[in-house]
Amino acid sequence: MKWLTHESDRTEKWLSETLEAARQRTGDEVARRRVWAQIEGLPSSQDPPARRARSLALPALTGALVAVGVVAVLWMVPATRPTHLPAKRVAPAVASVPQPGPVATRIASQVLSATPVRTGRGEKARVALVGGAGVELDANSVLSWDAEHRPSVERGQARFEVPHQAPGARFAVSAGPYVISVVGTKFHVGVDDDRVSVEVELGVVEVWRGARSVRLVQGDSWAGPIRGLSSSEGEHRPSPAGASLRRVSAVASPAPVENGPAGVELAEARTALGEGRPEDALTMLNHCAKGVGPAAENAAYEMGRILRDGLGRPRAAVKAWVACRTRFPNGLLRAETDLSILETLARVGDKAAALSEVESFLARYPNSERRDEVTKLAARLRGATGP
Amino acid sequence: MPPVNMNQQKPAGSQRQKPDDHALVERVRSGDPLAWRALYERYSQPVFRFLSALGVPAEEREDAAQDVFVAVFRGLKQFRGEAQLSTWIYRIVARHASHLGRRRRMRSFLSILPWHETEPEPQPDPAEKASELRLLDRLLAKLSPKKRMVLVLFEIEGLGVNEIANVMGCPPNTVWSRLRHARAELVKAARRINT
Repeated sequence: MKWLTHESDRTEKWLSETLEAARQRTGDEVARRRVWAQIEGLPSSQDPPARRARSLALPALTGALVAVGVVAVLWMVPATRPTHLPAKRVAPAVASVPQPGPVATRIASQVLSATPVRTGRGEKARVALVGGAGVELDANSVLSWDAEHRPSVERGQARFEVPHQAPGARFAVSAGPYVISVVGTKFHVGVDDDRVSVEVELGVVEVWRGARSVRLVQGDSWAGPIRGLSSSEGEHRPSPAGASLRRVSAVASPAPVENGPAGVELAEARTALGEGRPEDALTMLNHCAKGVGPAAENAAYEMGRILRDGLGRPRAAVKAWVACRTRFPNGLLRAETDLSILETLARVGDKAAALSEVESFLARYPNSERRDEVTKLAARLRGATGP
Repeated sequence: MPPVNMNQQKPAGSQRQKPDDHALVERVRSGDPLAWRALYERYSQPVFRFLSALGVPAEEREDAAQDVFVAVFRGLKQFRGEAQLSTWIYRIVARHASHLGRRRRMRSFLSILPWHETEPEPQPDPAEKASELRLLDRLLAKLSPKKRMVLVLFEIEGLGVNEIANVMGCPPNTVWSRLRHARAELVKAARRINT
Protein backbone atom coordinates (compact mmCIF):
# COMPACT_ATOMS: atom_id res chain seq x y z
CA MET A 1 0.00 0.00 0.00
CA LYS A 2 1.36 3.38 -0.97
CA TRP A 3 0.98 6.29 1.40
CA LEU A 4 1.55 9.91 0.56
CA THR A 5 4.34 9.16 -1.86
CA HIS A 6 3.04 11.12 -4.86
CA GLU A 7 4.29 14.65 -4.45
CA SER A 8 2.48 15.68 -7.59
CA ASP A 9 -0.81 14.63 -6.04
CA ARG A 10 -2.32 17.72 -4.47
CA THR A 11 -4.29 15.83 -1.82
CA GLU A 12 -1.39 13.66 -0.73
CA LYS A 13 0.91 16.66 -0.59
CA TRP A 14 -1.61 18.53 1.53
CA LEU A 15 -2.08 15.56 3.87
CA SER A 16 1.65 15.06 4.21
CA GLU A 17 2.23 18.73 5.07
CA THR A 18 -0.72 18.89 7.46
CA LEU A 19 0.32 15.75 9.32
CA GLU A 20 3.76 17.31 9.70
CA ALA A 21 2.13 20.46 11.09
CA ALA A 22 0.12 18.29 13.51
CA ARG A 23 3.39 16.75 14.76
CA GLN A 24 4.64 20.23 15.54
CA ARG A 25 1.56 21.25 17.54
CA THR A 26 2.63 22.81 20.76
CA GLY A 27 -0.82 23.41 22.23
CA ASP A 28 -1.80 26.10 24.63
CA GLU A 29 1.03 27.07 26.94
CA VAL A 30 -1.30 28.79 29.40
CA ALA A 31 -3.41 25.63 29.67
CA ARG A 32 -0.28 23.59 30.39
CA ARG A 33 0.73 26.06 33.07
CA ARG A 34 -2.70 25.90 34.66
CA VAL A 35 -2.58 22.12 34.75
CA TRP A 36 0.88 22.28 36.28
CA ALA A 37 -0.42 24.65 38.96
CA GLN A 38 -2.99 21.98 39.88
CA ILE A 39 -0.66 18.99 39.99
CA GLU A 40 2.54 20.61 41.19
CA GLY A 41 1.94 19.66 44.80
CA LEU A 42 1.33 15.95 44.18
CA PRO A 43 4.78 14.76 45.35
CA SER A 44 4.28 16.43 48.72
CA SER A 45 0.70 15.29 49.14
CA GLN A 46 -0.94 11.98 48.53
CA ASP A 47 -4.27 13.69 47.95
CA PRO A 48 -5.12 14.55 44.38
CA PRO A 49 -6.33 18.09 43.64
CA ALA A 50 -9.84 18.66 44.91
CA ARG A 51 -11.39 18.92 41.48
CA ARG A 52 -9.98 15.53 40.60
CA ALA A 53 -11.90 13.70 43.28
CA ARG A 54 -13.98 11.72 40.83
CA SER A 55 -12.77 8.47 39.42
CA LEU A 56 -10.72 8.64 36.25
CA ALA A 57 -12.62 5.94 34.46
CA LEU A 58 -16.29 6.00 35.19
CA PRO A 59 -17.67 2.66 34.10
CA ALA A 60 -19.68 3.04 30.92
CA LEU A 61 -22.37 0.83 32.35
CA THR A 62 -22.97 3.23 35.24
CA GLY A 63 -23.20 6.10 32.81
CA ALA A 64 -25.68 4.23 30.66
CA LEU A 65 -27.83 3.31 33.66
CA VAL A 66 -27.84 6.90 34.87
CA ALA A 67 -28.73 8.07 31.38
CA VAL A 68 -31.61 5.62 31.18
CA GLY A 69 -32.81 6.84 34.58
CA VAL A 70 -32.61 10.46 33.46
CA VAL A 71 -34.50 9.66 30.28
CA ALA A 72 -37.20 7.88 32.25
CA VAL A 73 -37.57 10.80 34.66
CA LEU A 74 -37.68 13.32 31.83
CA TRP A 75 -40.39 11.31 30.09
CA MET A 76 -42.49 11.46 33.22
CA VAL A 77 -41.99 15.18 33.90
CA PRO A 78 -44.14 17.47 31.75
CA ALA A 79 -42.08 19.62 29.40
CA THR A 80 -41.79 23.24 30.52
CA ARG A 81 -40.44 24.55 27.27
CA PRO A 82 -41.67 28.01 26.35
CA THR A 83 -43.91 27.66 23.39
CA HIS A 84 -42.60 30.58 21.40
CA LEU A 85 -39.07 29.22 21.15
CA PRO A 86 -38.27 27.12 18.11
CA ALA A 87 -37.96 23.40 18.54
CA LYS A 88 -34.81 23.06 16.47
CA ARG A 89 -31.61 23.46 18.38
CA VAL A 90 -28.37 24.47 16.70
CA ALA A 91 -27.01 26.76 19.28
CA PRO A 92 -23.90 28.68 20.06
CA ALA A 93 -25.75 29.25 23.27
CA VAL A 94 -27.37 26.55 25.25
CA ALA A 95 -28.77 25.33 28.46
CA SER A 96 -29.79 27.07 31.53
CA VAL A 97 -30.35 26.43 35.18
CA PRO A 98 -33.31 27.68 37.15
CA GLN A 99 -32.46 30.49 39.51
CA PRO A 100 -33.58 30.22 43.09
CA GLY A 101 -35.42 33.20 44.48
CA PRO A 102 -38.75 34.90 44.47
CA VAL A 103 -38.84 35.57 40.76
CA ALA A 104 -40.00 32.91 38.41
CA THR A 105 -37.28 31.50 36.25
CA ARG A 106 -37.59 30.43 32.70
CA ILE A 107 -35.40 27.80 31.19
CA ALA A 108 -34.04 29.06 27.91
CA SER A 109 -32.94 25.71 26.70
CA GLN A 110 -33.45 26.19 23.01
CA VAL A 111 -31.70 28.97 21.25
CA LEU A 112 -30.94 29.28 17.60
CA SER A 113 -27.81 31.19 16.73
CA ALA A 114 -29.94 33.97 15.29
CA THR A 115 -32.70 33.71 17.85
CA PRO A 116 -32.58 36.17 20.72
CA VAL A 117 -33.16 35.00 24.26
CA ARG A 118 -35.80 37.16 25.91
CA THR A 119 -36.85 37.28 29.50
CA GLY A 120 -40.18 38.77 30.52
CA ARG A 121 -41.24 40.37 33.75
CA GLY A 122 -40.16 38.31 36.74
CA GLU A 123 -38.16 35.92 34.58
CA LYS A 124 -34.46 35.13 34.60
CA ALA A 125 -32.41 32.94 32.31
CA ARG A 126 -28.97 31.49 32.44
CA VAL A 127 -27.43 30.79 29.06
CA ALA A 128 -24.23 28.83 28.49
CA LEU A 129 -22.07 30.08 25.67
CA VAL A 130 -19.45 28.17 23.76
CA GLY A 131 -16.04 27.98 25.36
CA GLY A 132 -17.32 27.66 28.91
CA ALA A 133 -18.61 31.22 29.21
CA GLY A 134 -22.01 31.86 30.72
CA VAL A 135 -24.48 34.70 31.03
CA GLU A 136 -27.30 35.33 33.46
CA LEU A 137 -30.07 37.43 32.00
CA ASP A 138 -32.12 39.53 34.37
CA ALA A 139 -35.83 40.21 33.93
CA ASN A 140 -36.98 42.16 30.87
CA SER A 141 -33.73 41.55 29.00
CA VAL A 142 -32.81 40.48 25.49
CA LEU A 143 -29.64 38.69 24.43
CA SER A 144 -28.95 38.12 20.75
CA TRP A 145 -25.97 37.60 18.46
CA ASP A 146 -24.45 40.25 16.23
CA ALA A 147 -23.15 39.92 12.69
CA GLU A 148 -19.82 38.66 13.98
CA HIS A 149 -21.57 36.00 16.11
CA ARG A 150 -20.74 37.78 19.34
CA PRO A 151 -23.33 37.77 22.10
CA SER A 152 -25.10 41.10 22.10
CA VAL A 153 -27.05 42.60 24.99
CA GLU A 154 -29.97 44.32 23.30
CA ARG A 155 -31.82 45.39 26.41
CA GLY A 156 -31.80 44.90 30.16
CA GLN A 157 -29.14 43.51 32.47
CA ALA A 158 -26.76 40.63 31.90
CA ARG A 159 -24.00 39.20 34.04
CA PHE A 160 -21.23 37.46 32.11
CA GLU A 161 -18.78 34.96 33.48
CA VAL A 162 -15.92 34.23 31.11
CA PRO A 163 -13.19 31.65 31.76
CA HIS A 164 -9.63 32.70 31.11
CA GLN A 165 -8.90 32.76 27.40
CA ALA A 166 -5.69 31.52 25.84
CA PRO A 167 -3.15 34.11 24.69
CA GLY A 168 -4.34 35.60 21.44
CA ALA A 169 -7.95 34.81 22.17
CA ARG A 170 -10.52 37.28 23.46
CA PHE A 171 -14.13 37.02 24.35
CA ALA A 172 -16.24 39.91 23.12
CA VAL A 173 -19.76 41.05 23.91
CA SER A 174 -21.50 43.84 22.05
CA ALA A 175 -23.91 46.31 23.62
CA GLY A 176 -25.28 49.07 21.45
CA PRO A 177 -22.35 50.75 19.69
CA TYR A 178 -19.85 49.35 22.21
CA VAL A 179 -17.88 46.14 22.27
CA ILE A 180 -16.65 44.76 25.58
CA SER A 181 -13.50 42.71 25.15
CA VAL A 182 -12.12 40.41 27.84
CA VAL A 183 -9.58 37.70 28.43
CA GLY A 184 -11.32 36.13 31.41
CA THR A 185 -13.53 37.85 33.95
CA LYS A 186 -16.96 38.41 35.47
CA PHE A 187 -18.83 41.54 34.55
CA HIS A 188 -22.29 43.03 34.23
CA VAL A 189 -23.66 44.72 31.13
CA GLY A 190 -26.76 46.88 31.21
CA VAL A 191 -28.52 48.41 28.24
CA ASP A 192 -31.49 50.73 28.44
CA ASP A 193 -32.98 53.10 25.90
CA ASP A 194 -30.11 55.55 25.83
CA ARG A 195 -27.24 54.16 27.86
CA VAL A 196 -24.89 51.19 28.10
CA SER A 197 -23.30 50.42 31.46
CA VAL A 198 -20.57 47.98 32.45
CA GLU A 199 -19.52 46.92 35.93
CA VAL A 200 -16.49 44.71 36.49
CA GLU A 201 -16.80 42.11 39.22
CA LEU A 202 -13.51 40.36 38.57
CA GLY A 203 -10.62 40.73 36.13
CA VAL A 204 -10.13 43.34 33.44
CA VAL A 205 -12.32 44.37 30.54
CA GLU A 206 -11.96 46.84 27.72
CA VAL A 207 -14.96 48.70 26.36
CA TRP A 208 -14.53 49.74 22.76
CA ARG A 209 -16.40 52.08 20.53
CA GLY A 210 -14.95 52.37 17.08
CA ALA A 211 -11.23 52.85 17.51
CA ARG A 212 -11.23 54.03 21.09
CA SER A 213 -11.34 52.14 24.30
CA VAL A 214 -11.74 52.41 28.04
CA ARG A 215 -10.08 49.90 30.31
CA LEU A 216 -11.87 48.83 33.48
CA VAL A 217 -10.47 46.79 36.33
CA GLN A 218 -12.10 44.96 39.20
CA GLY A 219 -14.62 47.17 41.00
CA ASP A 220 -14.82 49.77 38.22
CA SER A 221 -18.04 50.78 36.56
CA TRP A 222 -18.64 52.75 33.42
CA ALA A 223 -21.56 54.08 31.42
CA GLY A 224 -21.77 55.55 27.95
CA PRO A 225 -24.55 56.87 25.79
CA ILE A 226 -25.89 54.82 22.93
CA ARG A 227 -26.46 57.78 20.65
CA GLY A 228 -25.27 61.31 20.19
CA LEU A 229 -21.58 61.09 21.06
CA SER A 230 -18.57 60.54 18.95
CA SER A 231 -16.85 57.21 19.31
CA SER A 232 -14.38 58.50 21.82
CA GLU A 233 -16.79 59.86 24.35
CA GLY A 234 -18.54 58.28 27.25
CA GLU A 235 -19.64 59.26 30.68
CA HIS A 236 -18.11 57.64 33.67
CA ARG A 237 -19.39 57.25 37.13
CA PRO A 238 -17.42 55.88 40.01
CA SER A 239 -18.54 52.56 41.36
CA PRO A 240 -20.35 52.48 44.70
CA ALA A 241 -17.13 51.27 46.24
CA GLY A 242 -15.45 54.38 44.96
CA ALA A 243 -12.96 52.49 42.85
CA SER A 244 -10.94 54.67 40.56
CA LEU A 245 -11.69 54.65 36.90
CA ARG A 246 -8.64 54.39 34.76
CA ARG A 247 -8.95 55.56 31.25
CA VAL A 248 -6.66 54.40 28.52
CA SER A 249 -5.68 56.91 25.92
CA ALA A 250 -7.32 56.38 22.61
CA VAL A 251 -5.75 53.92 20.28
CA ALA A 252 -6.31 53.40 16.61
CA SER A 253 -6.91 49.71 16.42
CA PRO A 254 -9.76 49.08 14.02
CA ALA A 255 -11.53 46.59 16.25
CA PRO A 256 -11.37 45.11 19.71
CA VAL A 257 -11.00 41.59 18.48
CA GLU A 258 -8.54 40.38 15.93
CA ASN A 259 -10.18 41.68 12.83
CA GLY A 260 -8.73 43.91 10.18
CA PRO A 261 -5.27 43.72 8.57
CA ALA A 262 -3.44 43.23 11.85
CA GLY A 263 -5.68 40.30 12.75
CA VAL A 264 -5.16 38.76 9.32
CA GLU A 265 -1.40 39.11 9.69
CA LEU A 266 -1.54 37.55 13.13
CA ALA A 267 -3.52 34.62 11.75
CA GLU A 268 -1.00 34.21 8.92
CA ALA A 269 1.84 34.23 11.42
CA ARG A 270 0.15 31.47 13.41
CA THR A 271 -0.35 29.48 10.25
CA ALA A 272 3.35 29.85 9.44
CA LEU A 273 4.17 28.68 12.95
CA GLY A 274 1.83 25.72 12.60
CA GLU A 275 3.58 24.83 9.36
CA GLY A 276 6.95 24.78 11.07
CA ARG A 277 8.24 28.16 9.82
CA PRO A 278 9.00 29.99 13.05
CA GLU A 279 11.36 32.49 11.39
CA ASP A 280 8.64 33.55 8.95
CA ALA A 281 6.13 33.74 11.79
CA LEU A 282 8.53 35.91 13.74
CA THR A 283 8.95 38.32 10.84
CA MET A 284 5.20 38.66 10.42
CA LEU A 285 4.63 39.08 14.15
CA ASN A 286 7.35 41.70 14.34
CA HIS A 287 5.58 43.70 11.68
CA CYS A 288 2.22 43.23 13.35
CA ALA A 289 3.63 44.19 16.76
CA LYS A 290 4.62 47.59 15.43
CA GLY A 291 0.95 48.43 15.04
CA VAL A 292 -1.45 49.34 17.80
CA GLY A 293 -4.29 47.69 19.65
CA PRO A 294 -4.83 44.17 20.94
CA ALA A 295 -3.54 42.43 17.81
CA ALA A 296 -0.20 44.26 18.22
CA GLU A 297 -0.02 43.24 21.86
CA ASN A 298 -0.79 39.62 21.01
CA ALA A 299 1.88 39.70 18.30
CA ALA A 300 4.46 41.19 20.68
CA TYR A 301 3.69 38.50 23.27
CA GLU A 302 3.79 35.65 20.79
CA MET A 303 7.19 36.76 19.50
CA GLY A 304 8.59 35.84 22.88
CA ARG A 305 6.99 32.41 22.79
CA ILE A 306 8.40 31.68 19.35
CA LEU A 307 11.86 32.84 20.33
CA ARG A 308 11.85 30.66 23.42
CA ASP A 309 9.92 27.58 22.32
CA GLY A 310 10.34 27.59 18.55
CA LEU A 311 13.87 28.85 18.18
CA GLY A 312 15.39 27.94 21.53
CA ARG A 313 16.53 31.50 22.32
CA PRO A 314 15.27 32.17 25.85
CA ARG A 315 17.37 35.30 26.43
CA ALA A 316 16.02 36.87 23.24
CA ALA A 317 12.54 35.82 24.34
CA VAL A 318 12.92 37.65 27.64
CA LYS A 319 14.08 40.72 25.75
CA ALA A 320 11.05 40.53 23.48
CA TRP A 321 8.65 40.19 26.42
CA VAL A 322 10.28 43.09 28.23
CA ALA A 323 9.77 45.18 25.09
CA CYS A 324 6.17 43.94 24.97
CA ARG A 325 5.34 45.05 28.48
CA THR A 326 7.11 48.36 27.98
CA ARG A 327 4.90 49.06 24.99
CA PHE A 328 1.73 47.70 26.60
CA PRO A 329 2.18 48.35 30.32
CA ASN A 330 -1.55 47.89 30.98
CA GLY A 331 -2.24 45.35 28.27
CA LEU A 332 -4.54 42.40 28.81
CA LEU A 333 -1.57 40.07 28.44
CA ARG A 334 0.57 41.91 30.97
CA ALA A 335 0.27 39.24 33.65
CA GLU A 336 1.09 36.45 31.18
CA THR A 337 4.04 38.45 29.93
CA ASP A 338 5.38 38.93 33.46
CA LEU A 339 4.95 35.23 34.18
CA SER A 340 6.68 34.23 30.98
CA ILE A 341 9.62 36.47 31.82
CA LEU A 342 10.09 35.16 35.34
CA GLU A 343 9.69 31.53 34.32
CA THR A 344 12.14 31.89 31.48
CA LEU A 345 14.68 33.65 33.68
CA ALA A 346 14.36 30.84 36.21
CA ARG A 347 14.75 28.28 33.46
CA VAL A 348 17.98 29.81 32.13
CA GLY A 349 19.36 30.00 35.66
CA ASP A 350 19.31 33.76 36.13
CA LYS A 351 18.05 33.39 39.68
CA ALA A 352 18.61 36.95 40.84
CA ALA A 353 16.68 38.44 37.94
CA ALA A 354 13.98 35.79 38.29
CA LEU A 355 13.57 36.56 42.00
CA SER A 356 13.33 40.24 41.27
CA GLU A 357 10.59 39.50 38.72
CA VAL A 358 8.83 37.26 41.24
CA GLU A 359 8.74 40.05 43.81
CA SER A 360 7.40 42.52 41.26
CA PHE A 361 4.77 40.02 40.17
CA LEU A 362 3.57 39.32 43.70
CA ALA A 363 3.41 43.02 44.45
CA ARG A 364 1.56 43.79 41.25
CA TYR A 365 -0.90 40.89 41.39
CA PRO A 366 -1.53 40.14 45.07
CA ASN A 367 -4.73 38.24 44.22
CA SER A 368 -3.49 36.37 41.18
CA GLU A 369 -4.63 32.77 40.76
CA ARG A 370 -0.97 32.05 39.97
CA ARG A 371 0.25 33.46 43.27
CA ASP A 372 0.84 30.05 44.87
CA GLU A 373 2.70 28.82 41.85
CA VAL A 374 4.93 31.89 41.76
CA THR A 375 5.53 31.75 45.50
CA LYS A 376 6.67 28.14 45.22
CA LEU A 377 8.97 29.06 42.37
CA ALA A 378 10.43 31.83 44.50
CA ALA A 379 11.00 29.40 47.36
CA ARG A 380 12.81 27.02 45.04
CA LEU A 381 14.93 29.83 43.65
CA ARG A 382 15.81 31.06 47.12
CA GLY A 383 16.67 27.51 48.16
CA ALA A 384 18.93 27.20 45.17
CA THR A 385 20.65 30.53 45.72
CA GLY A 386 21.34 29.80 49.37
CA PRO A 387 20.98 32.05 52.40
CA MET B 1 2.87 -10.95 8.44
CA PRO B 2 2.60 -7.21 8.38
CA PRO B 3 2.35 -5.58 4.99
CA VAL B 4 5.82 -4.83 3.72
CA ASN B 5 5.00 -2.06 1.36
CA MET B 6 4.06 0.52 3.93
CA ASN B 7 5.98 3.64 4.50
CA GLN B 8 7.64 2.75 7.76
CA GLN B 9 9.66 5.87 8.14
CA LYS B 10 8.96 7.24 11.57
CA PRO B 11 7.69 10.78 11.85
CA ALA B 12 9.62 13.40 13.77
CA GLY B 13 7.71 12.83 16.98
CA SER B 14 9.49 9.52 17.53
CA GLN B 15 12.65 11.30 18.62
CA ARG B 16 10.99 12.36 21.82
CA GLN B 17 11.84 9.34 23.99
CA LYS B 18 14.68 10.19 26.35
CA PRO B 19 17.05 7.59 27.76
CA ASP B 20 16.74 8.69 31.38
CA ASP B 21 13.00 8.16 31.80
CA HIS B 22 13.48 5.38 34.32
CA ALA B 23 15.85 7.48 36.41
CA LEU B 24 13.27 10.23 36.34
CA VAL B 25 10.56 7.82 37.49
CA GLU B 26 12.73 6.71 40.38
CA ARG B 27 13.31 10.30 41.45
CA VAL B 28 9.59 11.09 41.27
CA ARG B 29 8.84 7.99 43.35
CA SER B 30 11.25 9.24 45.97
CA GLY B 31 9.29 12.50 46.16
CA ASP B 32 11.62 14.78 44.20
CA PRO B 33 9.47 17.75 43.06
CA LEU B 34 12.03 18.79 40.44
CA ALA B 35 11.82 15.37 38.83
CA TRP B 36 8.03 15.61 38.79
CA ARG B 37 8.35 18.99 37.07
CA ALA B 38 10.84 17.55 34.58
CA LEU B 39 8.48 14.67 33.83
CA TYR B 40 5.63 17.11 33.29
CA GLU B 41 7.76 19.32 31.06
CA ARG B 42 8.75 16.30 29.02
CA TYR B 43 5.30 14.83 28.53
CA SER B 44 2.80 17.69 28.82
CA GLN B 45 3.13 18.71 25.18
CA PRO B 46 2.73 15.17 23.84
CA VAL B 47 -0.23 14.60 26.17
CA PHE B 48 -1.97 17.79 25.04
CA ARG B 49 -1.14 17.04 21.40
CA PHE B 50 -2.40 13.46 21.67
CA LEU B 51 -5.62 14.56 23.37
CA SER B 52 -6.09 17.15 20.67
CA ALA B 53 -5.48 14.66 17.85
CA LEU B 54 -7.91 12.21 19.45
CA GLY B 55 -10.62 14.84 19.22
CA VAL B 56 -10.90 15.89 22.86
CA PRO B 57 -12.40 19.40 22.53
CA ALA B 58 -10.31 22.37 23.66
CA GLU B 59 -12.66 23.13 26.54
CA GLU B 60 -12.22 19.60 27.98
CA ARG B 61 -8.54 19.19 27.22
CA GLU B 62 -7.19 20.92 30.28
CA ASP B 63 -9.23 18.84 32.69
CA ALA B 64 -8.38 15.72 30.70
CA ALA B 65 -4.66 16.46 30.87
CA GLN B 66 -4.94 17.02 34.59
CA ASP B 67 -6.72 13.68 35.01
CA VAL B 68 -4.00 12.01 33.02
CA PHE B 69 -1.15 13.44 35.09
CA VAL B 70 -2.89 12.63 38.36
CA ALA B 71 -3.29 9.06 37.07
CA VAL B 72 0.34 9.02 36.00
CA PHE B 73 1.49 10.16 39.41
CA ARG B 74 -0.69 7.65 41.22
CA GLY B 75 0.34 4.85 38.88
CA LEU B 76 4.08 5.52 39.04
CA LYS B 77 4.31 3.43 42.20
CA GLN B 78 3.09 0.42 40.25
CA PHE B 79 5.00 1.23 37.06
CA ARG B 80 7.32 -1.72 36.62
CA GLY B 81 9.30 -0.33 33.73
CA GLU B 82 8.47 -3.23 31.44
CA ALA B 83 7.16 -0.81 28.84
CA GLN B 84 8.63 2.55 27.99
CA LEU B 85 7.32 5.38 30.13
CA SER B 86 5.95 7.10 27.02
CA THR B 87 4.02 3.96 26.03
CA TRP B 88 2.53 3.73 29.48
CA ILE B 89 1.51 7.40 29.47
CA TYR B 90 0.03 7.07 25.98
CA ARG B 91 -2.02 4.15 27.25
CA ILE B 92 -3.42 6.28 30.06
CA VAL B 93 -4.23 9.11 27.65
CA ALA B 94 -5.82 6.73 25.16
CA ARG B 95 -8.00 5.16 27.84
CA HIS B 96 -9.08 8.51 29.18
CA ALA B 97 -9.77 9.96 25.72
CA SER B 98 -11.91 6.90 24.91
CA HIS B 99 -13.83 7.42 28.13
CA LEU B 100 -14.42 11.08 27.30
CA GLY B 101 -15.47 10.13 23.77
CA ARG B 102 -18.04 7.67 25.12
CA ARG B 103 -19.35 10.33 27.47
CA ARG B 104 -19.63 12.83 24.62
CA ARG B 105 -21.46 10.32 22.46
CA MET B 106 -23.87 9.60 25.30
CA ARG B 107 -24.52 13.31 25.75
CA SER B 108 -24.96 13.67 22.03
CA PHE B 109 -27.44 10.79 22.06
CA LEU B 110 -29.36 12.37 24.91
CA SER B 111 -29.38 15.74 23.17
CA ILE B 112 -31.69 14.42 20.44
CA LEU B 113 -34.45 14.35 23.03
CA PRO B 114 -36.56 17.44 22.41
CA TRP B 115 -36.30 18.87 25.90
CA HIS B 116 -32.71 18.03 26.55
CA GLU B 117 -30.24 20.85 26.95
CA THR B 118 -28.03 21.23 23.93
CA GLU B 119 -24.32 20.56 24.21
CA PRO B 120 -22.06 23.50 23.46
CA GLU B 121 -20.45 23.25 20.05
CA PRO B 122 -16.81 22.21 20.28
CA GLN B 123 -14.68 25.31 20.43
CA PRO B 124 -11.60 25.47 18.23
CA ASP B 125 -8.48 25.77 20.26
CA PRO B 126 -7.53 29.46 20.21
CA ALA B 127 -3.91 28.45 20.31
CA GLU B 128 -4.26 26.55 17.07
CA LYS B 129 -5.58 28.92 14.50
CA ALA B 130 -4.27 27.07 11.47
CA SER B 131 -7.26 26.20 9.36
CA GLU B 132 -5.39 23.24 7.87
CA LEU B 133 -5.11 21.59 11.27
CA ARG B 134 -8.77 22.17 11.94
CA LEU B 135 -9.57 20.53 8.62
CA LEU B 136 -7.34 17.59 9.50
CA ASP B 137 -9.20 17.25 12.80
CA ARG B 138 -12.47 17.12 10.91
CA LEU B 139 -11.12 14.39 8.65
CA LEU B 140 -9.79 12.41 11.59
CA ALA B 141 -13.19 12.68 13.24
CA LYS B 142 -14.65 10.70 10.35
CA LEU B 143 -12.54 7.66 11.30
CA SER B 144 -13.70 5.16 13.89
CA PRO B 145 -12.11 5.79 17.31
CA LYS B 146 -9.80 2.76 17.02
CA LYS B 147 -8.61 3.61 13.54
CA ARG B 148 -8.13 7.21 14.53
CA MET B 149 -6.04 6.22 17.52
CA VAL B 150 -3.79 3.96 15.46
CA LEU B 151 -3.30 6.59 12.79
CA VAL B 152 -2.58 9.33 15.30
CA LEU B 153 -0.13 7.21 17.28
CA PHE B 154 1.74 6.14 14.15
CA GLU B 155 1.61 9.24 11.97
CA ILE B 156 1.59 12.06 14.50
CA GLU B 157 3.07 10.66 17.69
CA GLY B 158 5.59 8.53 15.82
CA LEU B 159 5.18 5.30 17.77
CA GLY B 160 6.18 1.97 16.25
CA VAL B 161 3.62 -0.72 15.54
CA ASN B 162 4.64 -2.89 18.50
CA GLU B 163 4.43 0.08 20.82
CA ILE B 164 0.98 0.96 19.47
CA ALA B 165 -0.09 -2.65 19.99
CA ASN B 166 1.09 -2.30 23.57
CA VAL B 167 -0.84 0.96 24.05
CA MET B 168 -4.03 -0.41 22.55
CA GLY B 169 -3.79 -3.93 23.89
CA CYS B 170 -4.16 -5.65 20.53
CA PRO B 171 -1.89 -7.75 18.27
CA PRO B 172 0.51 -5.90 15.94
CA ASN B 173 -1.25 -7.34 12.89
CA THR B 174 -4.45 -5.69 14.03
CA VAL B 175 -2.56 -2.41 14.28
CA TRP B 176 -1.27 -2.82 10.71
CA SER B 177 -4.74 -3.61 9.49
CA ARG B 178 -6.32 -0.63 11.23
CA LEU B 179 -3.54 1.64 10.03
CA ARG B 180 -4.00 0.54 6.43
CA HIS B 181 -7.73 1.15 6.55
CA ALA B 182 -7.35 4.44 8.41
CA ARG B 183 -4.85 5.76 5.86
CA ALA B 184 -7.08 4.77 2.98
CA GLU B 185 -10.14 6.36 4.56
CA LEU B 186 -8.24 9.53 5.40
CA VAL B 187 -6.96 9.97 1.85
CA LYS B 188 -10.42 9.24 0.49
CA ALA B 189 -12.02 11.83 2.77
CA ALA B 190 -9.33 14.38 1.92
CA ARG B 191 -9.88 13.83 -1.82
CA ARG B 192 -13.59 14.36 -1.35
CA ILE B 193 -12.90 17.74 0.19
CA ASN B 194 -10.29 18.72 -2.38
CA THR B 195 -12.54 17.99 -5.35
